[in-house]
Amino acid sequence: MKPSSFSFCRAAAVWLGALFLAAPGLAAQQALAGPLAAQSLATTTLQKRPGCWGCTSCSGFTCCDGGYVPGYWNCSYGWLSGNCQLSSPGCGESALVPLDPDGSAQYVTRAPAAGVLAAVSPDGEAEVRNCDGVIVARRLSDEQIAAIRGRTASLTL
Amino acid sequence: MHYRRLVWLLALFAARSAALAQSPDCGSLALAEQAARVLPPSPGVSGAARDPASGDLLVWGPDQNVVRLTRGGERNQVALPPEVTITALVAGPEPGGLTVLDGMAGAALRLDGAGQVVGRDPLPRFEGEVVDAAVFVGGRWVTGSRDLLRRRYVLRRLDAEGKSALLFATEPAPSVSAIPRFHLTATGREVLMAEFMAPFRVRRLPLEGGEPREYETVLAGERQRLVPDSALRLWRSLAALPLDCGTIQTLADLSGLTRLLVRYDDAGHVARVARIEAPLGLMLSLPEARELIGARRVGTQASELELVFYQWRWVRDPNPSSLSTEEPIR
Repeated sequence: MKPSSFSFCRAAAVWLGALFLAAPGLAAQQALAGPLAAQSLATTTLQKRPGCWGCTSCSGFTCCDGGYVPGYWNCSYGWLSGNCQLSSPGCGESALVPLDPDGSAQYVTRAPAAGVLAAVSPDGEAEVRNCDGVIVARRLSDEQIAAIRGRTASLTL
Repeated sequence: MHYRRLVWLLALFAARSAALAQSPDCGSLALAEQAARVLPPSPGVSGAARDPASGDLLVWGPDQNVVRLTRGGERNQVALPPEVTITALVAGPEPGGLTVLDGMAGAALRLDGAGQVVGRDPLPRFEGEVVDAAVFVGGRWVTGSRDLLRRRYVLRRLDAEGKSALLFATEPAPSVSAIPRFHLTATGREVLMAEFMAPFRVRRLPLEGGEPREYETVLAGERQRLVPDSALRLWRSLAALPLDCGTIQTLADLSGLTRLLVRYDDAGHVARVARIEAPLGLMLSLPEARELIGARRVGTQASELELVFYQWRWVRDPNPSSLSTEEPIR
């Protein structure tokens, strides 16, 4: 994890806060990802930034927690509501879900933060999914691991 | 009489040769696990490459750490400077060194064995384009970029002295977020492109330019039932990998353990689709050694990935079928 991603979120929050104080008529909700994403379309130098992909508690507030997914904004932050929205836009409907080479979303590898806003699947506690149904955390039992190794030791196609 | 029989036999031989030429399949692909190695905990794995000089395997993740796995079983970690972002990585040109294509910095960076930057070659810049992926093929970089101004994906070959050639461009997408994205793989003098999302198109592009060869779409015809349309948005393709006869591609269900391994023949037709219920993906191919390297999730902790080293061979299948599963998925 890069420290710059967290500081990016904090810096953006401070920037939005200053803007809010300077302009009392500002709309009630400010999305962090929205304006930055819009800028990125205009100037490509702003397109690639440390993204954030999870939500956590920062000194009593909810804030975006940094991972490092270049070019992706996977969470947005409502400044006044203090709500962090996971995975924008569309919660992974586009190709913006980073993949691990086993074909799982990379969230699985970074489970602790990404699972915060996810729902537990009804069939057990082993899988945690985000709002789109993407598995974002998974814990495998020893039996499951043995079965996976057995099923993939030799393949014919 | 004997003369007629000879002509008939020759005609039969010619017809059989023609039929074989039209169906260049080499039989069934049999993968046998030779070894497996658990990777150290990390925030994920973004790519892997083989160091041809040492035979070491280089694996890197989004935290910009590179793990060098030696053939002898050693594991050395190389931490890159924080300002370096790996879009693509190859070993060399110095022994033990690395070359990183940093799409954010717009440069190819030469690093020593300790990960320190010792040289920097700027890349040509194109207005509105964001480098998304790259491969080093035939001594040159080929970059895949999202062209945000024209809402398309472009593939460019970067030549010496800041020159470049446009190899491929998609049709304009309806929006920036709808620009298709592709995995790129180097194979000889060509680049394989595999579309991230459905319909998971695979194309083969000659490095020197020319028309791309588009492979048969995997989820077409009777194979459409393998993944219902409603589930497609949560399926992704991994990179298409070259075999010594054809190409192999992994399709993964982000909402479950199901994987489809798709094998194409040399002509780009779907030769076989196998369904497995295991978090396994194929990530690197070494056709000259008939070796495939995959990754599977095996840890009791979330972050544990294991590399699997497969050796492949071709076996003659007395009852070939294009599908090794008859069950629709969900």
